[in-house]
Amino acid sequence: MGETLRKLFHITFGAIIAISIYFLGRDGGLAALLAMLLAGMVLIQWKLSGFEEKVIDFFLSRMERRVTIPGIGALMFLLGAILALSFSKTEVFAASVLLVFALGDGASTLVGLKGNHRIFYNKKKTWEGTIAFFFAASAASVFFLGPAALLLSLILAFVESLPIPIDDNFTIPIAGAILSYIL
Amino acid sequence: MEFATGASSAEMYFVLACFGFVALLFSQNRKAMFIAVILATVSIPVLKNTLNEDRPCIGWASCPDDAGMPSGHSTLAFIFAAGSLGSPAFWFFFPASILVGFSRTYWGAHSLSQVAAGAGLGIALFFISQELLIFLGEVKRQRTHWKVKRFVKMKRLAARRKQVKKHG
Repeated sequence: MGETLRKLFHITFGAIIAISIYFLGRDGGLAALLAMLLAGMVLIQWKLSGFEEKVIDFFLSRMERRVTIPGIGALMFLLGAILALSFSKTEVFAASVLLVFALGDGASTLVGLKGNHRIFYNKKKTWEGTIAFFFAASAASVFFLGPAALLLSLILAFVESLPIPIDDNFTIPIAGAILSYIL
Repeated sequence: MEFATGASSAEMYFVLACFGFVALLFSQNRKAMFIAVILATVSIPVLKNTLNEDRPCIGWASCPDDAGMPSGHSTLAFIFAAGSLGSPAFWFFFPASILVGFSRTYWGAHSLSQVAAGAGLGIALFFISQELLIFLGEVKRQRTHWKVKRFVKMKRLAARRKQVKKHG
């Protein structure tokens, strides 16, 4: 239940950020993300120092994985959004990368947990999860990018399935930003 | 507004760097911070040349020649802010990073989005460095939940206080 709720929040949060970027533009979007990032860092520091707040504790107790830093998942997602928006060629492409990441990653975890067919180069992931990533990501980004969304989703689904020791909150936005100059 | 990256800003950054050096003694993750600084030093010029975004001060007398995206000062400052999360040094590094970012926009050296990109890049580089160190076996991955860790820390502190009280 915790992982499902966490991924549903990940999808909703990511979709809200992507749509906000589409309307706020690059500068406004980055300013809003910076404000959220700074507030998040202060909250993490306060939580580590023993600060208690009912609403925050409610979310942390239900959606957090077993981690050493409270709220690190949300912080990583914000960092990914900043990297995508800063280094993509256009804000429309950045918003698409974020939609791909939010919906694709969420769908891949939700479907992949029930999958049985392990990927030969990464035993931690399943083919079902990767295919779910591709379909969810394509459906989300095709409205912004047209046919290029299929290629973007396919490449990012492959990147997500790779056994890279770096958090996929970084690898997918960075790969998306690089693709914005190629596609 | 006149562009001022001369003595005033150099002095401010020097003072911040001195305090930062002392604050480093109180923070963990120094190895990851060092690797992140190296990664930043390598990646910032590449990103600046690739993105080639103008600075707000372009055309002013003492505006730097290179491109503005992302802000190198903010990247370096936020590496230390991220690295000191969970330690008392955070309360120095975090306001100092904000001050550095603010000064870059105030003096026209960078726009707010360039500072935001620098901050995001700095924090991301720190976490990437930490994960690389764990992957290479240089640092052990901590698996203790933050609540348990805090509880153990509080218990140890209480025991130490009790001992100090007992022995005067």
